[in-house]
Formats: sequence, C-alpha cells, structure tokens
Amino acid sequence: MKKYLILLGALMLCASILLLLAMPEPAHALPEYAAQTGEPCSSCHISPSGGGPRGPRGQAWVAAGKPGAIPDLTESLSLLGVELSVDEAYFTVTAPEVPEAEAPAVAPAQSQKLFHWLSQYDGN
Amino acid sequence: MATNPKSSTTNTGLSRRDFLKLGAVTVAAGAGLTALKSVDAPQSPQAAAAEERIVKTTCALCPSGCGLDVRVVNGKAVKVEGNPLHPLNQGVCCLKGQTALEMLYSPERIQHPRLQMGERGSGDWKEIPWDEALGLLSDKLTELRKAGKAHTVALLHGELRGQMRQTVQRFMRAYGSPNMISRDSLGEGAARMALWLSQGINGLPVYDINNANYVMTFGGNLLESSRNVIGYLGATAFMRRGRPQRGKLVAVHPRLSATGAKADEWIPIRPGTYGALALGMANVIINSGLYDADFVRDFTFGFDDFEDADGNKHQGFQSLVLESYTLERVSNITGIATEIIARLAGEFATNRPAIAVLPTEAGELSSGNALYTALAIHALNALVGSIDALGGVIVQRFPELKDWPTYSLDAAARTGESKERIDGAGMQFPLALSAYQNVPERVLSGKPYPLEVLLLLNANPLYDMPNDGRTLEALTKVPFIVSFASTLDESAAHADLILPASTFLEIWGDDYLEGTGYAGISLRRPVVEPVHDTRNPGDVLLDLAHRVGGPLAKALPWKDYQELINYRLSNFDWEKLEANGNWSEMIYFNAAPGSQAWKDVLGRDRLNAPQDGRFDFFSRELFALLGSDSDLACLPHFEVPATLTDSTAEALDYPFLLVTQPIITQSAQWQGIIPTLQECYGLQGYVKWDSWVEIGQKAAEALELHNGDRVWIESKMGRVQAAVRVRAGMWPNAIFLPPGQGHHTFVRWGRHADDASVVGANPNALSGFSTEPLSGLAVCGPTRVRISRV
Repeated sequence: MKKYLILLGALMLCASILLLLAMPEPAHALPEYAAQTGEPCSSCHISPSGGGPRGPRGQAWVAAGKPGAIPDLTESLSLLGVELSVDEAYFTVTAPEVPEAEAPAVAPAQSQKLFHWLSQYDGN
Repeated sequence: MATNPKSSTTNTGLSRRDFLKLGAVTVAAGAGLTALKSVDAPQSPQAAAAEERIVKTTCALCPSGCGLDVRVVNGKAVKVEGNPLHPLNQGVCCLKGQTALEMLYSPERIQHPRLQMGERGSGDWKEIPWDEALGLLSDKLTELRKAGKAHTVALLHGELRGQMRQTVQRFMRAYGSPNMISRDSLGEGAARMALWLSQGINGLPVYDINNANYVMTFGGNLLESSRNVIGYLGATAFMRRGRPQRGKLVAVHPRLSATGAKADEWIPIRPGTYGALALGMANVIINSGLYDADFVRDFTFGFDDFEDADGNKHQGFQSLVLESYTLERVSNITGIATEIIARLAGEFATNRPAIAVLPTEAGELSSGNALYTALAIHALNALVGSIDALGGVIVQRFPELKDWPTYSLDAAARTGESKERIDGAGMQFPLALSAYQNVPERVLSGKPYPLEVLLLLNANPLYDMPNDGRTLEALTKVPFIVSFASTLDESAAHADLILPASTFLEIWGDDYLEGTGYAGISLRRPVVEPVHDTRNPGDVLLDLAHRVGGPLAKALPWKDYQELINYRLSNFDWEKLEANGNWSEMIYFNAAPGSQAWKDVLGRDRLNAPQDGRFDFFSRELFALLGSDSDLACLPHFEVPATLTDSTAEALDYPFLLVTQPIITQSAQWQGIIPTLQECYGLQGYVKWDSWVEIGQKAAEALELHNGDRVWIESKMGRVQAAVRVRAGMWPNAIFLPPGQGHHTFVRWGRHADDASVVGANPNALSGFSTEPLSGLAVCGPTRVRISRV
C-alpha cells in the first residue's frame, strides 16, 4: 500500500511539474505593480490592458529594479540611453511674455505663389 | 526527532529513502522534459532546407504607415504581422496589412513595361524591356525640354511618402515643369490649408487623443480611415477605458459609421453642413463665456473687432458668430435640435482638453465650402485653448536628415517654372496648392497651353473623377500618357506607356512617422526580390534624371533610390534603424504658449501674415492675399452647398443626397484586386464582391425596398447599380455608397466564373466635379440622386 501511495504521489508530482513546465510563460503584468506605483498598466505596457511588450517607461522601470515610482518619460529615455534632439527647456516658459499683436496688411503684388512657398512640405 | 503533525510527509509516512526516490523520479522527469524542449522536432528534408527570417518594413496601404514584420521563408513572403517596436501600430496589423501578400503575388499585376500598340484603351499591349521604355520616355522629355516646352509635361500624383515627395519635386523643378499636381485637393488639402491660414503651419493636424477628455469628429471616419487610423484606434481605446478619467468621443456625420457606432454619441447631421454646426457651437461657447479667455486674449488675433494699420475697422470672429450663427439658424441649417447643439458646445468647452477633429478623407468636406468649414472647425480648438496643449491639436515634427544637395536651374528650368500651372493653382485659384480635379477641363480648353506629356504616379483620374466622360475626353487630347500603375487601373488602361511600379514589399523607401507628433522615421525595404519585372518609381525617376541630364542629373545624383535613402538617412544609426524598423524620439513636448518653441507651432510657415505667435481667427494671410474688401473672406463662415438650395423641381426629381465615407477595407492602393478584402468589403452588412447602398428606414418603406433588392442609383451624371441595405443610422434623405469599388478585376477567387469583371460601383461616377474659386479644393457633393428598382 505504502509503495502504491509513493508511486501515486510521485506520478502526481511529476504530472504537476510537467503541467507547470508545459504551460505558457506566465504574464508579468501584475495588477499589484499598478497598485504599487499608482499608475495604470499602460504606463509601462504598450497594451492599455497590460501584459506584453513594455514601452520606454516600463523598460526603464524594470531596468531600475522596479522601484516605487515609474520614472517619467524623459528620465526613462535618458536611462535607456536615448539621446533626444530637443531640449525640454525650449518648450517651457520661465518669464511669460504676451506677444504683441500685429495688424494685418495687404501683401505686395510680387509676392510668390503659395504652391511654391508651401512646397517644402515634408509629410507623407 | 520532532515532526510536524500536519506535514504530508509525516502523514503518508514517507521515509527519507522514499523522498530521495521521489526526488530522483522528479529530476529525471524534469530533465527529460528539458531535453525534449531543447531538441528540435524531427525535420522533414524541406523544413531542414528552409531559410526563415523576419524582415521589418513599413506598410503603404493607407496613409498611416504602420511597421510590419514580414515572415519570409526561402525568399517567399508568407505572413505579415505588426511590428511591436513601431510607435504607430505597436504590433497591431489591420486587415489591409494582413492581405498585402495577396497584392504582392496577385496574378493581376503588370509584370513588364508595356507599350500601347493599338488605340488607347484597346488593350493591345506589347511588353518591352525597361531600357527601351525608359529610352522612349527620356527621348520625349529631352525633346520637349530642348524645344522650350518642359512646362507642357504634367505629373499627377497621389500619396507620396517620405523622401519621395521631395524626389518628385526636384525632378519636376529641375526638369522645368511647374505641373506637379497633387490629389490632395480632393481630400486632405482642406485640413492642411485651414491649419496654415489660421495657425501658420504647413502640415496636417495631429490629435493627442490619449490625453484628451472630449473628442468630436466633424465628418470623416476617425476609427476606419483617418490618416493615423491604427494609432487613433489605440488612443481612443485608451482615452475611454485605459485611464482613470474616461473621455468622450462624439462622431458627427449623416451616416452611422463604425466610428459613430463605437463613439459615445453619434450626431446625425444634414450633409454638407459641418461648418454651420462648428459656428453654432462657437456661438454658444462665446455667448456663455466658456471659452479660454486668457488664451484668446494673449495668443489669438481677430477674436474682437479691430482696426488695421490704416485705421480701417474690421469685423472679428466673435461678433460675426454672435450675429450670424444663432442656435435657431444653425439648427435650421444642420437639422440638429438647438438643445443638442447647446449641450455639445457646453460639453466641448467644459471638458478640456477638447479636440475638434478635421476630416482628411476625400469627399468629406467637398460641398463647396471646404476651406471655411475647415477653418470653422479648427477655430473651436483655439476657443478652448487646445493649440499644442496636452490632449489638444499638436504639430507633427520631423527628424533632421542630411541636407539635399544644392543644384541650380538652367534657363529651360527657370522658364518652365515661371509658367502658369495647368491646373490653375496660383492663377485661376489664387490660394490653391493644387487643383487636381480641374486638370481635365483645362486640358480640354487647351489653356493656358496644350499638355504634351502626362505622368500618372499613384493617380487614377479616370476613376477619381469620371465627370460623365469629360476626363476620358481630356486624356485623349494628351499626346503621350505614362502610368506607373502596378495593376491595370482605369487610367493606366488608357496610357501609352506603363512603367509598372513594384509593390511596397519590394522596394526601398521611408515614411515620416506622422500621427504621433514627435519626430521619427520608418524604414521601408525590400522584403523579397521583385516578383516581376517591375521597378520602384523612385528608381525610375533617378534613371530618367540621368538620361535627360543637365540640372536633373545634379538634382538627383544617386544611382538608385536605395542610395538616396542611405544618403538622406545617413545621420541615423542604421544598425538600430534596421533592427527596429524605425527610429523616433518617443516623446512630444508641448510648447507652452509664449515659449521659444511656440513659434514652431504657431506662425512658423506664414508667408505674409505676421509671425507674432497668435492664432488667427481673422486670417491675416487671407487679408494679405485678398486685400481689404471683404472681412467675411478672412473669417470662418458657412456657405450653404448649392445642392441644398436647389429648386423644388430638382429636389423632387432627385430627392436623395449621396454621402461618402471611406471604410477600413478601402485603399486607393489595391484597386479592388485583393480577394480577402473583397470578401469582407461590407464588413458590417455581409456584402462581398459588390457595392451596397445604405438607405434610411422611412425612405426604404416609402419606396417599398428591402435588404438585398437591386436598385439603380441615378444622378444627372450617370447611374450605377447596387444592393439595398436598410439602416436606421442614416440622415433621412441621405444615401451612402461605399467608395473604392467599381474597378475591373479578373481575379476569380471567391467568385463565379460568369461574374462581371467590374466589381461593385464607383460612386464618383455619379458626381460632377468642380472647384472652389479661392482654394482650388474640389466640389463634388452632396450629389442629388434618385433610386429606382432594377
């Protein structure tokens, strides 16, 4: 009887292990990460519902050892070694200035044709 | 030894020896499984020889330009998936992309250059070698150039992507022709013109839907056919379900599309009256003081009445809107109840950031008031301070590429460039960037000069605007027509020479990453060797440039298009570019009003208007170009479409208004030849390999029509046949025919052998095409039609 029990136990254990090994890779998008960081799954993952490939913030957060807060996008890009060609300060205002409005005026007749002026359009 | 009474080991009486036995079994089992996993499955001789790889490239089946992963086995492309590393589609691949291989391997592709031997349209083709074909065309071009007639060559084009736009531009300019004429005037031209006249930016608006709280589409089909459809689908899903605060999507259209069905609210509207609705909403927002007063005061121009430099008084946007677009009047025009307009306006202004989305699809604004309608819609964005704001309208940025080499024009090129354009842009239509639909009429009139050579690149004018045979008549007057078509489309069938283009899966190229806002580039590269004896039109233009020589050869010095792409993209890390299929900055910084960057989002590309960082409600650009006679011409306003003011007799004869709305299964690129797309063309109505006409329930009852009945849809221009689909989601006297059908195809998959070669009906055949006098934008609807049983 004891032998049967041992054999049965061994078989069940093997079956469980086989089942576990044969299962697909477990998903790593865990709701507790969202709870931990206070941000939605989409902050890290490309899919809004979480799981699957990570975006830059998710990659940087994992690379940093999953700290309490997710680095913001600029910091993430910096951590990932992405060099931005733009300077964030260029987009911000330190001393707000209201531009002076200029009244409209009729253009001189020799003005170039619009399709020439706007021909340097880069869009697809 | 103390034991744990709850231990299973103790309970089963498992001894140390038994435990070791069990452990050994487990380890053996695990090792066996690992071994099984590590050893490849037995391979057949074929599989052993298979060479498999994934090639990253960029789709070209719609303007989005998604990243694709194409699986290639032994040199054959076998599967298309989305590239997860691409910022636009993030691994998603729409059904068009999935079917790209059916286009690549389609038996309907033109396989060699062809020369028309008989009468045009006779189908009497002779296949000729590329060298002979290019020699023929370059001789013609050289001869005309030498005779001082370079300007008599015109190139009509559709979608040009990445570097191709400037390549074509350099080709035409250095050759000496001003006639590079875009199909934009049928569609996105209105949005681009509105952005330039009000915001001073030469580009198409991009919408930060991810961060918006309220998105309202005026026409178009945001989630099926917009320029960044996959990106906007994801962004809309995120806006509504992926973040704590759910945003609202409102779709305004005479027809309930997939966008309308997925939206939080669909607002049916009388066809052609979007501009009136936008101005009515502006009236409510201004009247109730809900607009962003700080932004309007500090960063806009022409909101209030003002005096110009000479002391003349002018009307501003506020007084025009308050005087002329009262709720009652707008309700009468649009057919939308006053309380709904007021509610929409209130929601829009109080749920910021809010976005009013401009359509870019062909025909959506073509009611004779496209320019001012687009200006009226975009003015709503300024009223609520959504200009380059988080969750607002942002400006597409572009990467810095290596400069194009300089070249100088010779006398022939300078003379040609100074000539009047064949489409009337710049003269007949002073504001026009192009007036594609006007080319046939000008060719027929012979003014300003007869056209000698017509090149068709991604353009099919015979399909786009048949105009009751006038376009065909015009083509017969052009002595030499060359088409770059991949399949024998309607216009290619009437060409003299076909230089068949390779599909996007066989060529080098690139796309700018439009739709995200941030700078980026997406690489297109050959996935497989050309299946047939076809070439990249870019390669063809470079070859022609070398054959014609002179400034052309200097403007385009590269031996082939791959070399051109390598040159322009040489600033990039190609290892990363090839590994990811794209490069992008991945971040968009919104320009704070008044920041240094503000000038890049407001006023950057103005020609005559001041670059003072102010959004123009009153367009100073229009004022500069038109003079001071009419304030109304410089302000967003609404002009009632001619078809809505027709006589009673006309309305009785043709009681229905034909509306268009592109659908996701449609693409100008596949010309009806892809079986899978034909199988699901009418996705929601189960219509395959055919067209259908959607008609409202009451109208169907009055005409005693039921689903599936065959009917004629007839206008003054012609008639087409389709099956009825009765729908509740339709403006009462509007009907809808899907665009994109009505092409010839000889593909038999999924069809009966005796089916007609033309699949479905071309709705363009019902409309007359004319042109807005100022902007050169197309006027083609809403067309009056009637319906009768077959």
